[in-house]
Amino acid sequence: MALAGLSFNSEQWLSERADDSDMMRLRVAYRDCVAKVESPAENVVFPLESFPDGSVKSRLSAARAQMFSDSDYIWGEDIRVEQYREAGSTNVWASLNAENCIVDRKTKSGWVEGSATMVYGDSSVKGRGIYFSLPREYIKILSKCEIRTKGAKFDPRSLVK
Amino acid sequence: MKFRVCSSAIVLAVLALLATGGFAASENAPGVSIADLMNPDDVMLRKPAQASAEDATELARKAAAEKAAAEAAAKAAADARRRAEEQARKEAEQRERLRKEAEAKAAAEAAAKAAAEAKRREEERARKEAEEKAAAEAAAKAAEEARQRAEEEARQAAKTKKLAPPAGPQPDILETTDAKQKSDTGAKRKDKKRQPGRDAVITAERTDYDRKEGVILFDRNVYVDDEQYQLHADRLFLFLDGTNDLKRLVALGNVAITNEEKNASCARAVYVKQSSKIVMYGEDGNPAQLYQGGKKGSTVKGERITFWLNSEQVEIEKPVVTVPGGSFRSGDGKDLFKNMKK
Repeated sequence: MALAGLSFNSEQWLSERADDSDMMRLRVAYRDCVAKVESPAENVVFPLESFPDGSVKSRLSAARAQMFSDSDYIWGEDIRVEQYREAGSTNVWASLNAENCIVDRKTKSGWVEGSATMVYGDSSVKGRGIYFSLPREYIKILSKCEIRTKGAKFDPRSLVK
Repeated sequence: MKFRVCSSAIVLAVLALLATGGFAASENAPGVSIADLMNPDDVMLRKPAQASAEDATELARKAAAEKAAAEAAAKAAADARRRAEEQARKEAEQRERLRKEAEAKAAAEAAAKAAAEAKRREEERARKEAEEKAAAEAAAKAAEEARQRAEEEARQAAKTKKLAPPAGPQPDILETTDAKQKSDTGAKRKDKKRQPGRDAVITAERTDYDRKEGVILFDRNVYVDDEQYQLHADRLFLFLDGTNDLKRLVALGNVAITNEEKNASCARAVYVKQSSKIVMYGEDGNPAQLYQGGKKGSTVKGERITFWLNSEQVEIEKPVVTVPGGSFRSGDGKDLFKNMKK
């Protein structure tokens, strides 16, 4: 159904959305990686982004993680990503907690197995089974999606700001 | 000279006696011949020089024989030892060969077993992968079929029956979960309506966020629970501008909007921020509807109902207005058209 009066082509968008091949690939790879996990590194912490002054902008920590030499996958368990809005700040502005995760370094996409919670500002997003692709700038939550935002009146802008 | 002759004669006489055996008739050895007395083996009777030579020869012979025997015995012993050593060596070699053969056989068997195990694991992994893939494909296919089926059912429902007054959230046409749970959830929702300052919550079965297109899609059993209103729809699109601000909001399929006083239902609702208006669309002969004042209140139906939020005006295309009996007499009906353009 094309939305009347809108330039957005919902049919095209929905048909593209249905292309879940990359997500399916990652889901299969996740199973393989879990089967291959041996002596993973524990309590891994490393920065993802930095401010110009060198202070950490975002960092990832995992209770257990392993990189695989025969592929571009990184597997992690009990993942937490923290993001800071200001340089030198110790207050976490946004965070992501996931039970299990696999990331493909080549395609920069990943799959979160199980539940995950994202908290940013006064809002939070929960779900089970999350696919994300950085090049496509795409996030897909497959089930049990819940978005919660503070405030007396719902403003959808707060979801994405 | 004479003595020398005599001596020679005596020697000759003796030799004659010896030759004839006349000595045997002597009184000292009766019946024994001189030959018997002259046993060459009797060393006592032999002359010393002759016995010594013979003894030496005999001793030498015996010694040689003994030496030869000893040498033979030593040689035999050495041969026996050598044979024993050779036998032991052969036996050791045999044992070593058997041990190596056993080890090689065991290694071969282990390698074969490991290869078989690796093959089995590989087959198991391939089987699991195929199962996972098949399951994922089946799940995706089932989800897509469910979505299409739900859309079809929604279209059929819109064609065949009127939209029910949305006193609460519309029945879920996409999910077949426990009705009691839904009832409980509905009761909780009603309680929460009266909580000022509470969180606004959007729930859905599935969500897609496409940042490039600036689209967020909440799919299947979408419910927006805000302090001031509740919205239920099959799908909810949020369209964002370049700065991630909301541009448009589109609710599709069995849309129901309720608050304390008003209820509305339609097939599609669009909110456009720039013009600050909400447009509700009917579909396939089922108009958009607006209820006010409960079951005994008034009803407005139209193919399209537009609300201008800033001016609080309402525009209805092909309107049908129903008011309770006696409303015009009491003047209540005027309120219904107060903000209506036409």
